Amino acid sequence: MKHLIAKLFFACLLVGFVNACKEDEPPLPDNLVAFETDAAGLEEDQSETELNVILSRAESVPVEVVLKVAATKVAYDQEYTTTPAESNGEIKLTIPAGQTSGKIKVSKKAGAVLNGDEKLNFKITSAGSPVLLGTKSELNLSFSAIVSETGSLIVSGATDESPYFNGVYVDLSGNKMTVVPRKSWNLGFYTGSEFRVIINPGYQGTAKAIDKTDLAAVTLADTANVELTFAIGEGSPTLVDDWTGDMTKTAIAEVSATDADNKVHLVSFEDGKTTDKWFKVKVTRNSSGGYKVQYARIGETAIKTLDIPKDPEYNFIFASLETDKIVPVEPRKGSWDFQWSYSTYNSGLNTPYWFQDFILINHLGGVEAAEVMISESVTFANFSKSGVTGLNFSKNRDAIGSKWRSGGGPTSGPAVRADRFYVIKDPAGNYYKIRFTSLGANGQRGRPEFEYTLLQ
Amino acid sequence: MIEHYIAKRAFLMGFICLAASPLVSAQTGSVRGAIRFPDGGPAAFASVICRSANQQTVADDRGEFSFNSLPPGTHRFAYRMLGHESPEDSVLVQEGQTSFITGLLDLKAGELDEVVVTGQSEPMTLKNSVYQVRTISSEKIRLRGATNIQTVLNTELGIRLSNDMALGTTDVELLGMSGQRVKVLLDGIPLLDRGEIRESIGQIDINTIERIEIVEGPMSVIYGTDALAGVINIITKKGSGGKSLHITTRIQEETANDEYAFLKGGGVHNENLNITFRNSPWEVSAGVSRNNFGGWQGNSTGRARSWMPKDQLLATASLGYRSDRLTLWYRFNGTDEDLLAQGNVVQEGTPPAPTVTDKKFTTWRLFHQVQADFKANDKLAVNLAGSYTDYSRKTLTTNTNLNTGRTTLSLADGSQDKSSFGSAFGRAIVNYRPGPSLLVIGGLEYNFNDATGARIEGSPVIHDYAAFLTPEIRLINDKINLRPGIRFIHNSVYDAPPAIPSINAKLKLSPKADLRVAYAKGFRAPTLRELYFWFFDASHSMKGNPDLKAESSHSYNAYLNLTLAQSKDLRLEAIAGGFYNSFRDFIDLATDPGDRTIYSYFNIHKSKTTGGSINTKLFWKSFQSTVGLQWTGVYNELLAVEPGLDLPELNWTPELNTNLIYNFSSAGTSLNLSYKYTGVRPRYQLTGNDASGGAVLTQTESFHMADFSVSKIFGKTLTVNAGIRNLFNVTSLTNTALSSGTGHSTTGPVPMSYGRSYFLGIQYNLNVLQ
Repeated sequence: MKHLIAKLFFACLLVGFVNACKEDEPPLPDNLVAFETDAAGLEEDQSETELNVILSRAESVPVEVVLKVAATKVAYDQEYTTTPAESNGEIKLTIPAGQTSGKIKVSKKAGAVLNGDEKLNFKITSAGSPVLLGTKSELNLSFSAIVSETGSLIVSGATDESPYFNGVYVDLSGNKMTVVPRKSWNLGFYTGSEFRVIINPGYQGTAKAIDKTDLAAVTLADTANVELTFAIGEGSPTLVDDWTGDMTKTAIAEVSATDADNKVHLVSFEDGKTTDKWFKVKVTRNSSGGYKVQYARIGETAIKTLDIPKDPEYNFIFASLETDKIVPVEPRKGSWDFQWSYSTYNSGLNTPYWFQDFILINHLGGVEAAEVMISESVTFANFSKSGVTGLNFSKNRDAIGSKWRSGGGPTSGPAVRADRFYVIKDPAGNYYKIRFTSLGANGQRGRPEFEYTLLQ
Repeated sequence: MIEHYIAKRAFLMGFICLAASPLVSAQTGSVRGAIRFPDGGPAAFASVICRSANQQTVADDRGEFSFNSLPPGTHRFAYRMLGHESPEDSVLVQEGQTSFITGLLDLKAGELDEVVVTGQSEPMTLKNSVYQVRTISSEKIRLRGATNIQTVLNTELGIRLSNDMALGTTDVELLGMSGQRVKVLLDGIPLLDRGEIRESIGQIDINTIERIEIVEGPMSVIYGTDALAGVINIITKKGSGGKSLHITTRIQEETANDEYAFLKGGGVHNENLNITFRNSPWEVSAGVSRNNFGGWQGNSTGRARSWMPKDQLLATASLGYRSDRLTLWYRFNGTDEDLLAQGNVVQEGTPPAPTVTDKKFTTWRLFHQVQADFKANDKLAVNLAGSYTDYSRKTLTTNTNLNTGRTTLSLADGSQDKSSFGSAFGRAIVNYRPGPSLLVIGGLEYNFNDATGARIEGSPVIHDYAAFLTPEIRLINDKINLRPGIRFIHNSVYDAPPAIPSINAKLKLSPKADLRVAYAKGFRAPTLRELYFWFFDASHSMKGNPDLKAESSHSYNAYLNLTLAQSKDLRLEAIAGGFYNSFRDFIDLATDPGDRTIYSYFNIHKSKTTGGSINTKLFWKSFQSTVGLQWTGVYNELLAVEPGLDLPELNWTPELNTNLIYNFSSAGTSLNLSYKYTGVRPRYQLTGNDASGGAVLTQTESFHMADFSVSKIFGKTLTVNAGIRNLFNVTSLTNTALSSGTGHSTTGPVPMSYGRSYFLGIQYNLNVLQ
């Protein structure tokens, strides 16, 4: 009997041996807290500004961040106040569970007299466990406009919901970013001399005119033979706005001064692809020099109307057909250089499809971009202003587009192309060299990193 | 370490206990004998079986053997050696005395005497089976020094292996059909696979395999879904009675092309330990195998490897009970497999730091099976089989900063993933023989499948119920065997085909000629993935389709088996046959007509395969050879999409294979050469986005696969194997297909192997008790 027990023991041991071979998993990467930027300006005509404090990723518990404030030539409650309030030179900011950022609002006190050489220095001194301090733990806020000379930024494109939830507008000289949920708008109305309407390229917008001018007469029957959704390689480029940004090639026809010439367009977006969820849209000019847009979902009867003014401070005025109002999207046209977003692109077969991490330059605001290939003689580090003259700048909206990263394949993930960098001419005529350094730390998509330096 | 120490101690104690049992007791007698070939030479290393006492042994290099503890009475002895057979000898054993015997080992009448079980209610010789069954014996597996089943299948006609470099998996194609249309069974019980690739075939310990049986054509009446192209049934080793302790250990080292390191790293490293203890009616056995493959660099650069490193730990355990009327088996197969995809160094972060991203895929399979055979009387027998599989596949992605050496988990979408699958199976078969010419086989079957995972919608569960009836009728003095069959299915999710019929017939044209003719309807149920797949991100919109119906087929085949020559030391057999299969409702990915941005699964394709083969087997003295020739025509699937094109309906590929074995009996040495030629694989492809530009012929080039090996037995216990695999050094095949320009291009060279490699293995068999 003994030997049988020995046998069984040995058999069990073998199974145990298999179990024992399981290794421990490596830890998650550190979750770091840091300022979004290390320098910011509160301009003369601004009464307040917000400073973003960013986590690498959301935590399941609230994270308390303690910051120390050092003021130069200003005093709390006399020239400025903060939210959350400063107390004994410290601010305690709580980032709620599930959130990746918190904000400190700095407001000028009404009637405060400022010369522009005042400064506030914020320094993160501690953060609640398990969060650790990141490299950008200090921020200098000047009470004047700044022209940033060099810096690095992490684009906040991702949320817990999706790695391409936001469109992010970047202003290199101001060292700042404006984050807008990509689905927050449907149509953009051009503020230039022509009357042109764009459809949101980051919301899979597609549009086609039908041969009707009476919006009320358009029913589900009119969607027959209209294909607004398509597989990769199959769609027509005329269903989307030109990906190079040519304003004469929009999917929605130019808005005529003659109301009767403006046809109804069927418009589809990512969250409403079945025909009854499509929008029927008719755009005309209104009497005050702006646009009038009438619209409804095809499955609905009530027709809604919005009047859109032209404001030349911006490239476009944006409207959401889903919340029925004008929404703020792009910063003023002189205050941003490029946008990171999900967007329409040329799939390579001259057909439209959608691309994650697309870079669109502010071509209507005068931004231009050139690609520089790294060689033995040309590196990102040694590139200087003198190199700009030999570059071939593009004014196309997709001048950078999808070129900065590779798409990956069955055996590899998408990755930043390390063999190139870009030179961007901003609306004020400054030249910046910029290179992308990560598609997102630790593989976290939607948080690409880049660094830039002013060429002077 | 302590565990290992205790194990060694416990093992040693067991060893001493067993060895200390008396070898000859007062109530027994002995037999000594010698086995000769017809020419008088010693039959070295022949197996000797004493059926009457349920004992067996192996002769030494002089062909001599002995049994030391036989109960008094008349005992019967039989001798076995590959390609040979013997009549049974009887000898009287008297208490306390030694009897002498001389045995004769003659050339075997043919492999048709091999026993098969696939599709049968009980083991049956090939010659009597109504199915055309191909077998690969354990002897052939041993001679080839194989460490996995794919190596053995690689030179079989009609079989083609395809490798997915991204997943590190190998699929088995049979008659032009991919693995999801091939049924893989372990002792007649289906093996679970997570997707369309038959990975399971590479996750079974080859050291536990007795033989592999391959049946072409559907056997859907008995085995249900998936067996459209055919069935691969892996039969495990089972002992028979007596009292013995049998220990087998094996170590084999192999190069991977030009890469090799001893025991770990480059090359293939295989170690196996198996212990079986029998004390009739009980048998208990346990074994463990490690298969370690260091991967192969191929055309990859830096850290990346074209063939992923793989580490397998395979454990088996079984408990059996065997009496005259009842046989009971519990068997456990455990698989722990790690595949490692190593990434290249990239500069990452601000400031840039050298970083590598590695992916580890861990497969975990626990397969339990229970089988029971109960023979109530000569007329009634019952077979019960049940299994439970617990399967998971985990993806672990890590990033390592090479400056700090710190490794952390990746946060990328889908980079940490675990998919789990469960499957339960139960089958009851009743055999009732009311008279000598009729055997009624009826059965019930139940299948349960569930799954959870990142790319599976919800936690779907599928129940499948089936009943089948397949009587075997013998007519005109056994000249005709008829086996009609029908299966009824009910499935909880999809609309199963209402009834699946089949009919098989064997006609004995003469004592030297048998004709087998078969018709069967086959089906393949939609898989969990096809029903419930869910994958949406920025560049993918794919989902399953719960409204799918089963794929189905009509299959016809006929085979003529001829014995062309038979004399004292020569036997020549030939098998000529043909098959025709037509398939409908093949499930494939296509754009959803309701939303053209979404890909989903639909029943869209029809397909067909047809072909013919000639196989010959020659046994001449100590030489055995098989030569086979096959043409397989596979439907030109472009015609299913673009019926207007003027293209041939079938794409034909020829195959030729041969297997040569020579035994130097006196030296205990065998030589084995396995070779297969696979011809050009043609395929038509549209030149543009639609049919307007016409189609162009593209080809995957032909290739030669050949393995050569030498096996030598030293004494009674030690076997040494050495050989060369892939003599022609095939690594990948050129493919003239056009690039499609989309994300997952399937064009480019077709990876086949890591090239020519050399192996050396030692196997040590120890029979402690006899």
